[in-house]
Amino acid sequence: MKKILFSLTLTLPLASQVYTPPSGGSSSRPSGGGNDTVVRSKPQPGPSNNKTFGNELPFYNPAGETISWNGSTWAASDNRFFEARFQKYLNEPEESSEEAKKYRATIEEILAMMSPHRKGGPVFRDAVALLPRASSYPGDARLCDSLSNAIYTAMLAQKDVRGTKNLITAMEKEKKRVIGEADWKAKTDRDIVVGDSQAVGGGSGGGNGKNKGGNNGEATQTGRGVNSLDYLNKVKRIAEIEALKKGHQLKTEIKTELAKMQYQALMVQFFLQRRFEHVVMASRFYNQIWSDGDGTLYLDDKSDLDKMFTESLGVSPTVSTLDSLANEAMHDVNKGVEAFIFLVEQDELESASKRLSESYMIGEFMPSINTLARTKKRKVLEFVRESYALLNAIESKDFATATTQIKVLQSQAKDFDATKAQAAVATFSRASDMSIMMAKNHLAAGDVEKAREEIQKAMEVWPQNPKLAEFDRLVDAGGSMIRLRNDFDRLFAEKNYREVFKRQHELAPSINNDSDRQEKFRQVIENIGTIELAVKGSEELGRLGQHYAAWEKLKPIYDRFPDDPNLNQVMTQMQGKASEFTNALDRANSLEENGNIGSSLSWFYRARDLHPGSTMATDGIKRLVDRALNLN
Amino acid sequence: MARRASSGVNTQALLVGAIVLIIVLGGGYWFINQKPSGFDAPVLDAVSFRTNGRSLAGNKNQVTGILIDREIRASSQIVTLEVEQDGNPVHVPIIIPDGFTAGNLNQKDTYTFLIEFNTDGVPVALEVTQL
Repeated sequence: MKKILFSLTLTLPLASQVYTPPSGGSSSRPSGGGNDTVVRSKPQPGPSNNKTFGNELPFYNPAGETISWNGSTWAASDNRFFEARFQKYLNEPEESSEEAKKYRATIEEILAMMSPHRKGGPVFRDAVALLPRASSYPGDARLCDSLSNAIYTAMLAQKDVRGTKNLITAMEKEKKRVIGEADWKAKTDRDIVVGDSQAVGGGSGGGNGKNKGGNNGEATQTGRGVNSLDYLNKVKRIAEIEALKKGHQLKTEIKTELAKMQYQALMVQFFLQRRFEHVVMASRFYNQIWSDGDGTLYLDDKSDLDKMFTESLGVSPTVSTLDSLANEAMHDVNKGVEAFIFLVEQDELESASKRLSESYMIGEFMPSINTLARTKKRKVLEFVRESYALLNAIESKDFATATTQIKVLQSQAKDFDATKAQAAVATFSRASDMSIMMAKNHLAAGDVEKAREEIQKAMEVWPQNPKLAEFDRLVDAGGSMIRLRNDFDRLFAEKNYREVFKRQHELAPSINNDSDRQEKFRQVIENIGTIELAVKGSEELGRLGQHYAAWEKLKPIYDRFPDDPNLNQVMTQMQGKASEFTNALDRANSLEENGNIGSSLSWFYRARDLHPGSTMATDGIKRLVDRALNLN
Repeated sequence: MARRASSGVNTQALLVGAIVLIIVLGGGYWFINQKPSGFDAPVLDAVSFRTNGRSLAGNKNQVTGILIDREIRASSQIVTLEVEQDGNPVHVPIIIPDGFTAGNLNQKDTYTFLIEFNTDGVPVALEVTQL
């Protein structure tokens, strides 16, 4: 029953207050399997065909909280139009003006006057007289005027029907009179016999006639009795009157049905507009206008409206059906508002907002909705806003925001059920993460195309996945690796080993899995490490004033790496402080090369005299002594 | 009036006598302190030797200095004298050939060697005296 109510009541907020026959196919009802996470707030276009009144009905799917209408599907709880309207309602003050109070009092008075339970019966004329007063209230949207006009039209039709019935009665009398005359003529008319002046019986056909051949007296002569033109004319007249009577009877029935149809159309319109009080009023007036007990609704057999009634109720819809549905809707709305007030008091804002949302959808124009205090409504306003933000986040696949919104809603409402939202976030984020992981693997394997496909999938599932940024950084790093490897090669080509050493931590990752470059890199790092160690050691000796020792410590390193700029610089600095010693060694070496052994030995001794611990001098002396003594 | 006769020391004679005395004493001091070469050979120009010893090949010289090092091999050795020339030390290595009899050569002692330069420009000891 509720499903039917929703179907009916959800239609007009999406359209307008004036019913407009929908167009489009009627075969696109939702499957009923609700998708918990993907919510469409925009209608899906469907095939368009122009159907007449009553052939299209919105369909509310409570499982999926979707509404299908005119071949399109909306999310009932996530429709921008409804969202805006509902939030506007939550911010509106309650209707507590004098005018509103008078209006509601008038409606209640009309309903009371037309109630079948009223003592003395319904007061039709007085109730109709109140309709213009109710119509003067803006919130009524002049619907009471429409009802008043429909009643007037129906009354005129009724009056016309009564006139026609009087006419039919008169015609019936005339027919009976003609029949009587015809019967009399047939009964009394006699054939005329020559010489027989005795008239038998009377009659309008002339009493001078005589039954020519028989004793029964029936006229057989032409122009007499049933053979007379006068008799035939009477029979014809009877047939004409009968035909006219049948025609008028038919007209009466048609007029009645047309008047009912027009009136019922207005009732259905009220129902679809969720003006349930008007439906009840119209129903009660209907029973006073047409007391024949025939309340069958004139609906197209193939229409959705007719199907809805017959499939749900199992019987043909009647005015009473509309009346009962309207009463049930009003009851549901009132109960929903009561539940809302209780739930707000319990801080169960999710349930409260749902109950109010449902009640509002059904009974937007109901007094219980319109008189609900704004202070109570605003308690759920924040929750509703955050709820829509969550829905929007999920719809736009912004799962990071959705996660935040879930936490916010959990903190706001203790009854907030985050299961569906969390499941959606978990499912989609995991799928996206998985694709990103696959993309990374493909990228590591050098399969760029597959990596691109996986990233595409990840982006479709969760466009704002933070791990996409990580992946971007990884790709950027891959580009950096190539640049660093090029730098490494260039520095080697330039023999700028010092720069390689300086950027060793930056360059090292770029030559992973490259044995040739790694070997080069290893040598550079080791050699410059050796140089640096020697330089530090010599600098320490220099600080102790042992400049010759400092120089000698660096000399073999310098001989190995004469191109190292740092070492060159240090050696140049030390050269000045150890010049006497280095001069002695240089001369010794030079003379040794020339075979001038005595002089060379003299200089080696001089060098050792300057730096007694000199290994170079000692080695030179030993070498030259051996040579001088011809031991080599 | 009569001229007073001179009775003082003759200063000119005293000055000459002092000069002669100084010369005699100085010469005596030089004589006493002069190192005895003991060899009839010119003193080695150590700086020239250090510059190019091979150019002295075949020359005989005497050289005096402090023995600072001995490099002994199987049957021969090289000793090194530190000779001071022009205030700078110059080291002169001298081959002590096999069969050279010179007694004990001790480091830090001063010796005078009669040497002859071989073709490698290395002095070879011919004789030695300890001072």
